[in-house]
Amino acid sequence: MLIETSNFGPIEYDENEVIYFQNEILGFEGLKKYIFVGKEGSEPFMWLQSVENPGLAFVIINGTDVISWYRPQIPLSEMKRLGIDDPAWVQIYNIVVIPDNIEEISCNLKAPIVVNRSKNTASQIVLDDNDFEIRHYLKEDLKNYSIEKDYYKDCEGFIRLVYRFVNELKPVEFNELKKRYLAPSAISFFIIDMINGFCRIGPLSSPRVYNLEKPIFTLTKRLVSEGVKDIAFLNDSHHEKSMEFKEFPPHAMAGTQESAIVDSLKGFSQNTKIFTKNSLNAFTNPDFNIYVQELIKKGTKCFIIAGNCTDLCIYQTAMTLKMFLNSSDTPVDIIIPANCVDTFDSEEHKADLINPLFLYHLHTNGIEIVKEIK
Amino acid sequence: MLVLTRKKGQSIKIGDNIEISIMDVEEDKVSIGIVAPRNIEIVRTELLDVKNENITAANAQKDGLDKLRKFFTDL
Repeated sequence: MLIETSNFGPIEYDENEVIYFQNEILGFEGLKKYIFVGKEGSEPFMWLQSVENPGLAFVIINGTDVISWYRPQIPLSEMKRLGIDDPAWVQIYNIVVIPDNIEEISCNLKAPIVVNRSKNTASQIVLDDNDFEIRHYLKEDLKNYSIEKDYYKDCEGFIRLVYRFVNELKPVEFNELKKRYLAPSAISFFIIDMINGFCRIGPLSSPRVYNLEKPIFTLTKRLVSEGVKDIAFLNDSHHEKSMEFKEFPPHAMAGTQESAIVDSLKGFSQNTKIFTKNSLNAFTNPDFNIYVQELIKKGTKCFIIAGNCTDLCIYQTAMTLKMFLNSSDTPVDIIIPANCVDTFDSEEHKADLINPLFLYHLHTNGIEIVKEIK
Repeated sequence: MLVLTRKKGQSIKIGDNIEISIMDVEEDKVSIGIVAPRNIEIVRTELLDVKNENITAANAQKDGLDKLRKFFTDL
């Protein structure tokens, strides 16, 4: 299809690119069909070009991208009208006013254009929220956006390298470890925070961590059957006034179900040590500290670490262990099987970035990251 | 501005033909019932504000691309 626009000249478009408005743009009733037009060098701005009126176009911006605090709540009734059943398909745009004095460029936060990409439907929705201005001045946001974009661009290559590192991890055979360390008794195994409070119940439980139960069960069973005897569970165990609750919501209180080892791994805990911790780092428990030193004296040549979270307790404990080994020039290895560690995912804590990044960081500090132990 | 205090269920009249009733009050929300002749347009004020802003936006975007490019180089 072809449209002769007054802004951009002729534009070729495909019928399935057309967005159909349910609530039309206020003041432009009757015009239902629009297409998105992007122009190089004008990101983050785009154009919403009317198909029915070649002279009509709106400059739009994705406000949630550009304005760090802008998180509009779309009323359920409107979600239904747009046929939204998966929020992942929702895109939010804000109409921009480009005045003669460009310094006063603004966008409308009060009435965003909500697009359902799965059905190519859209509406301009006037939100009830009085904090969202119809004329929000954009200059400061655009300044920050352009700085952040530069940072981001600068880091792109590195982020790709991190993902490649994780994708190209190789598994290691247990037999290979046996050869390397001569006897199963030279291998110790720590399982960190595989408790209900992170796997199954409570404010900090997460599906990603729950999914660790199976691979850790398989690994533990394997290590036990191969004759690895020095196995320890390192578990969060807090009290009402735990300082950590300033950073995290109250969780894993001593004596509750949340602080108990998950059922799937409980069976292993009978012949193993259990150490509790009131912080992210197991070494803050002096008993654990002594235990580790005894293991090294006894001839441990390799520590395997599994559990959660990669960027929190795993990172803290593995790095502290590594620093102890470094400072005493003790040639003992630390191995982390990547399939047995993970972290929680949220809007503010993107697991798909944080998990690989911390694995890579542990690797650069001399901790051996393997895909899995077979 | 004339300010009147009304309770739920009470109403006011504007001229002969328009009556505004307070239907319900809940926290900071008030439901208002309006009886008026058909030729009188009734619209939430912010809708009108949004409409005007949309029209401003549509009129102001003519040389938008050039202005934006220059703006970013100047930032």
